[in-house]
Amino acid sequence: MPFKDIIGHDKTIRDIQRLMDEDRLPHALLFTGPEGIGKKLTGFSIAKALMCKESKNDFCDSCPSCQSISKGNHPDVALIQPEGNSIKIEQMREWQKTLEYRPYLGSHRVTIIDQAEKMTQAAANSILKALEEPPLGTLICLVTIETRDMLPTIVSRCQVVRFSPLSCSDFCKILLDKSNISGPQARLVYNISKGQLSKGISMNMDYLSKLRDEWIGSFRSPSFDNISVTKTDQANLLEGLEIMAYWVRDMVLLQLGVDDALLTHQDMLGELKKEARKVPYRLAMHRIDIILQTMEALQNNANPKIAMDCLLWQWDKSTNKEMVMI
Amino acid sequence: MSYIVLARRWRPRQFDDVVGQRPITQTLKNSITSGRIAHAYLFSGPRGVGKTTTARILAKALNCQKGPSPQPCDACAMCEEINKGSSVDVIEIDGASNNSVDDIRDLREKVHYVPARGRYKVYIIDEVHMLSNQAFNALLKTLEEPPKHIVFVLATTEVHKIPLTILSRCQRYDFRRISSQDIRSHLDKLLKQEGDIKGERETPLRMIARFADGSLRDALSLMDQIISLSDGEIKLDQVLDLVSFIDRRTIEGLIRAVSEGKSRDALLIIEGVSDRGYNLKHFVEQSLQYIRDIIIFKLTEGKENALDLGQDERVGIAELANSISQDDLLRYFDMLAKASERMRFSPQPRLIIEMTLIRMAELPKMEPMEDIIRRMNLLGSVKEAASCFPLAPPAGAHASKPLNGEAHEASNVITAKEEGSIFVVDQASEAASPGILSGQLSGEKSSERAKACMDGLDWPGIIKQVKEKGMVFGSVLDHLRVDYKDGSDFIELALKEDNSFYWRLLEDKKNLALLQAAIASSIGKSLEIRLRRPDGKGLENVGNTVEMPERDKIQLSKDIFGDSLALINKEPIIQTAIDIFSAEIVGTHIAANDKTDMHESMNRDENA
Repeated sequence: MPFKDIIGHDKTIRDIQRLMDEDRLPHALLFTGPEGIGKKLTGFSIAKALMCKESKNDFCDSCPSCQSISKGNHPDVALIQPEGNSIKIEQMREWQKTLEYRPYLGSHRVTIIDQAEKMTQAAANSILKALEEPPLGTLICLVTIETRDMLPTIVSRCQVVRFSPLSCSDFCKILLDKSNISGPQARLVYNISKGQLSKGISMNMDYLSKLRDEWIGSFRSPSFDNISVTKTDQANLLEGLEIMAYWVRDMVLLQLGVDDALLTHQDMLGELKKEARKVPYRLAMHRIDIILQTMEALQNNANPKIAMDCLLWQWDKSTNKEMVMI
Repeated sequence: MSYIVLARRWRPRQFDDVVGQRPITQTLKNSITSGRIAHAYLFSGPRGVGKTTTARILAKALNCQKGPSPQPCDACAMCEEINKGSSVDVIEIDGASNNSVDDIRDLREKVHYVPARGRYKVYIIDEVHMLSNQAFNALLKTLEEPPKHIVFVLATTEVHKIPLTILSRCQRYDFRRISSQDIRSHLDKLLKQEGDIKGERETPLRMIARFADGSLRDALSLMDQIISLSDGEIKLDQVLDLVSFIDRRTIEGLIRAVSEGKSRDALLIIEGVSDRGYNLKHFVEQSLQYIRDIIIFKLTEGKENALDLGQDERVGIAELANSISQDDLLRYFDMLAKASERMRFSPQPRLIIEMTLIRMAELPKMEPMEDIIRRMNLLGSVKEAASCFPLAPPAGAHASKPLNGEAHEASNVITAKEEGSIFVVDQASEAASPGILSGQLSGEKSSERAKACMDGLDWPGIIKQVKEKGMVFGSVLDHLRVDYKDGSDFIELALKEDNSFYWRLLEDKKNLALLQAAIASSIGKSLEIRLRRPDGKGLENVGNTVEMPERDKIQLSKDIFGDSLALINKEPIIQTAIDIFSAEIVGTHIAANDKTDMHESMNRDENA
């Protein structure tokens, strides 16, 4: 699985390969970007490419070196990840001791620190010196979601490589290629999977549209009986709410006269337009608000039953209260 | 993989090479020249501004074989060793990994050995803020009085974590953030030495400097990436891409769309941004920054140095600054800031920013507070004008009558003053009409009346004068409408609202004499005072003010309450109260009586 198999980050990968070609790979890289889009994978790929004997600045994924990296037992490639809830200073001290020795096999030593934002204060501070001036041949890849979760002193010592979420059009293109999802549905999958391709591809459209029918149907005449939360768990609930939120948002957008291309539920355009006529604009805005609030509440571990009851309670109550959120 | 990053390769080797910290390097150089070398230094400041670098240069300067000199030769064995980091006399300790008390104890033991080759043994403790409490305390004695061959240099980004007892033992140097200008010129110099880099450099470098936010190392890290990825030419797109900055045009477009109420356009821009794979959260943050820039631009009236902007950026900002009011900008900022906060934790950040933008576009434009106040003042003066008419019928009476020409005239006058303010016109004609419709002073234009009512009279001055003598009566004057025409020999006073307490004070001869005296001293002649009750019962001349049938009233009270009144009358405290308020006693109550009784008696008082 050479570099080109990492999908969706052509430019980033190209840049990294170029750094390797020109022998300008820095000693510290910081990969940032949304969850599950291949940051850690890229880190391991670089490690393989540095050590693979078969191909220069790429990797074959079949030689003993690549194999042992895949299995996680290469002596010069280390993965540091949270033990329990955090990466602790003891882990870092141990790792820093290994830095003092020459690499066992090749000329490189690669360390990947996954979820680097989980380093404790002490741990993060303890790697500052090593991160600034490690021995030659050392590459440290930190992987995190947002740079701002990291100490600025750490970020400043690294070259930051951003992994952008896939653009919607790219996403849809790849999605149509790799799964049986039809064109108009791709937009919904993109929004629900938040641009994570692997999640999008694994998404079952039958399940999704069944979920959507269920939710939209029951919210046509919402009552405390037909929206039963007892059988759905929190993740399920969030998915349903997201679908609903986009449904109502589409209505708002329709009333604002935005192009159809921006809508999420494009495969149900007719129905959407029919329903949009029935819901006044203000009410629609109000509904998005309460859906978003409910989603936030659920994320903060609110009781699902109470949260949903609250949502229903306010569903049609578009009060005259000023819609400004200041 | 033998590449060494720019930040390390170009680490300054002389004091003079340190960028943007001249006050500090100069001081250090001077102290070396004059031989006043402290035994403990503390370097603090944000990341990437030269703390560790300066510490190393200091070590070099002290130990250089041709020194101690403010300009280490950088060629002798000592200097070489220190540059390579292998000198035994310059010990660089990572305070964050060696932060325990044992590490410090170890250090204390070694401090006593004299330097192997150099003059000084320099201990550089980097990231010193991570030392444990015990470690700090264990260091205190050594730090205060180390052997004379020892120099400590502590370096930290978080000086607030250092105990005061440590701080007070060190010479402290606060490193500043490096100005964008300095960063730019340094990068420029560096680019020239790194090989031929073509292309326009000004704007990309400005972007890098802005992103670096005062830290040279940040700038160099970014620069490194850019140089490796460029084909001998630095492109702005590339820089923007790397730092995931959105070009300003997009943000400009967004803010313009919002301010013009075009939520459709705003949504399309968001679609475009997300389709380019940008992180919407970053986009919102940059929009916030941009709005902030507009606000600053507005406040500073576009002065050159307040914002670090390129020429084309200035044009865009100036345009928006002119077209959007300060209040609206602040409101946009608030809403976006809130959205940005919510987006951080929301599973669907896109929905939040979309809805926020729709709301922002729908916001009615905020009117500047000054405008509103001006209008209210205008409104006030119109009302005053209306109320100057001595025999105005009570409000509401006008409703049945049609507006006459004068009323229109009045509103026209106001419209001319305050163009386009329909609101004022409506209110004005309504407020003006009662007075105008009364028609008592036909032939006079109401706008003239408005001016005429206090012609040549310093009424506030008079009030002040009266207040000096009698505070209570003086404050009654605040509640009067005054009508006086220059040259006339009388002044008309009317209560703004019916209040028997005020009225009685006003009727009091003593008070009137006071007022008359004040007026006389103000305009130099004595005026006749005419009083008018707010119910419009006509003028009462002071001279023939009807004596209220007070005797009768008291008689009546006596009939009801008996002689207790007479007794109470003699109480000194009651007497004083009567004097102050010109009161009269209408009844007596036992203290335990409930309040309704009290009210009743007061009502009775008023009715009488």
